[in-house]
Amino acid sequence: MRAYVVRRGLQVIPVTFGVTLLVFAMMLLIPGDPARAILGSYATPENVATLERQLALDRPPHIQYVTWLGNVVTGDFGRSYSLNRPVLDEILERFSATLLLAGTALLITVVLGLTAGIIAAVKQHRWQDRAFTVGALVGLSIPSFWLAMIFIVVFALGLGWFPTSGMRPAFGPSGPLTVLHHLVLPATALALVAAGVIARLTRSSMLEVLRQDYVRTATSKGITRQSVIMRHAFRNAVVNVVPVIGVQVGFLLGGAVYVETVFGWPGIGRMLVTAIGTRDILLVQGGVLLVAITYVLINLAADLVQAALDPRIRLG
Amino acid sequence: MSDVRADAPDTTALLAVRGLRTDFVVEDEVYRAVDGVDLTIGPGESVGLVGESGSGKTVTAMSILQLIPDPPGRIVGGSIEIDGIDLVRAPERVLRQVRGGRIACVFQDPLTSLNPVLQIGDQLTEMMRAHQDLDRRAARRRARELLDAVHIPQAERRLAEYPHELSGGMRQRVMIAMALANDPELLIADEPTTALDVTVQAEILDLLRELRERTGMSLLFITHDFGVVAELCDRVVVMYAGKVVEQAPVEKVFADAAHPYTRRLVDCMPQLGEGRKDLEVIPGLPPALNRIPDGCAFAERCDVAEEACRRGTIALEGYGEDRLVRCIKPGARP
Ligand SMILES: Nc1ncnc2c1ncn2[C@@H]1O[C@H](COP(=O)(O)OP(=O)(O)OP(=O)(O)O)[C@@H](O)[C@H]1O
Ligand code: SF4
Ligand SMILES: [Mg+2]
Repeated sequence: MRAYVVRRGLQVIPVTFGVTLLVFAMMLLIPGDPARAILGSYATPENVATLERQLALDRPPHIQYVTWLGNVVTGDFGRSYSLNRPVLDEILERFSATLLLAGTALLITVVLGLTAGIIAAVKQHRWQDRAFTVGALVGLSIPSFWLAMIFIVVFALGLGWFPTSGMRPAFGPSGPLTVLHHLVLPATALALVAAGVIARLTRSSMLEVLRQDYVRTATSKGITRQSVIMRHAFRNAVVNVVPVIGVQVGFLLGGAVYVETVFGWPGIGRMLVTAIGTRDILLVQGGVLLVAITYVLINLAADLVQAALDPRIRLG
Repeated sequence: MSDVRADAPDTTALLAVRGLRTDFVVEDEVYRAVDGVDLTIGPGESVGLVGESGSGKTVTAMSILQLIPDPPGRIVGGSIEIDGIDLVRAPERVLRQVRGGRIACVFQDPLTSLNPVLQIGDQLTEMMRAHQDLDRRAARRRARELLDAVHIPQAERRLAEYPHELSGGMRQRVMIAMALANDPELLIADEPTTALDVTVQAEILDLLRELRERTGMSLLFITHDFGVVAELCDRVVVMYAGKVVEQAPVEKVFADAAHPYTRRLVDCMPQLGEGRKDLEVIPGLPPALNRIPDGCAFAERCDVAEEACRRGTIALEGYGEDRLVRCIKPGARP
């Protein structure tokens, strides 16, 4: 396992490198005078001069990149001109809200997707499987921002079960239950499409695995049907599902942009939408970099979990 | 229609299969893979089940433990009794006690038959703990003893290994160890050596013979190979197109096979001293299992067939004192 971890971990380095290049390229693509664009039209000439020096904007692009990378690595993402505070402070604060939302959505995705997929496979050709097929089709064809709006109309405005928007600090006076109350709708809206993807994949892997000889062996041992399905079939089927869960995290982070906007959730997605509107380039850069690196690390984690589950991968 | 045996049910049998019929339905076509099979196995007896590919050997064996995948397969008739319990109609709970407890299986391909993501030790102890009241440590100790019993060196270390880390022969030894875990009364071995190298095949057969002598368990051994039957079995049951066509003590089958199909199979065996010449095969193919003709299913390929062979139903009838043959001209030669 150790060799695999090292090998897979090393792959993260070039990928992360590529991510920083792309994020840096955003700066090069700004039309006109970058320092002025970054600082906005009300910036004083001194401010513009300081920033140009700081970002080496008068130097060739590769020097600019190295300078920028050096700043970023030491935690200096610059200042947000529209919020007048360090970019790092802002993105970390916003990102924790997104993590709460996307993390909850991931939990829903995994639990719902795996459970529905297992049931549909085990009950193939029965009503459970047909209900699943219809449900997955509908779930997969509705974009999450649209689902978010339907949720608001039905469950918040119509039935009044949940608040329409906002978030409360988890450990403030309002307590975790209030936070949960605010989380249910956006997290579910965000999760359903990904859950559909996971459920379909789980179903097909389970159907594949249930045909295998070792499942017959397991049955021939006299263990319960439940053990055959979970310990033998699912344990093998999930090996193929785990990496796709990692990929789905990307969709959850991307979908968070819409869902946070619709639900007024103070996460990094909504921050990015606002920052793009106000052309707060450094804020956009910082936010995108953080999200991209998170995605890379989650996929690393997914691959490591997969290797932990399948000895043929980790032992080579 | 299942054949009604002339003799009374053998009450001393450990396992009695009567009139077993198993169908597969594929795209609305019904394939009768097993068509009225009768088969008894006595305590301590070793029975060889032979026949060409597709004759229904595996389906017969898997039907015994109710391991036929449904869909597409289904047992549509007959009974399978062990101590008065009919496995075809037994509830799941009773089936579970028999599976792996009184009757255990070893399959053809040990690589695909072992779970690739579970350690050998866990697969062994699971088998024991499904049937015996053992704590983890005791089960672990017994697992090690079982690996010793099937001559796997460094048993302790093997327990923590995964199937893909073992050789084919070692894997099949693990399967056998697992099958023996609860001291079964009957071991069903479905071509346990076919997937292995020739040299390893002989070792596995030696092991099975040794274990049978030591434990006194019954054996249902499925194979294409009459030579192996001669070495390992007391009695042979020959299947053709889903039916039993001959049942006899092993030595009689070799001395003079009564059914023309059996005779041809025996002729296909490499003779001692002749080396491994190319095996002669019986020309022609068995009938499609969704279109089994009237009369004898072997008639198209039989070298002594006549008009009467293609009519009605040909029953499995007594021949001599201890044989059963499904042929209107048993013992005929061209
Ligand atoms: N899963 C299945 N789906 C459809 N038909 C099947 C299935 N399993 C078996 N059959 C049918 O049953 C017939 C008998 O198969 P079986 O596996 O019992 O043959 P066999 O005697 O064991 O042959 P072999 O020596 O090749 O193992 C096959 O020819 C096929 O028509
Ligand atoms: S019944 Fe006729 S065709 Fe069939 S095996 Fe006997 S002789 Fe041959
Ligand atoms: Mg077979």
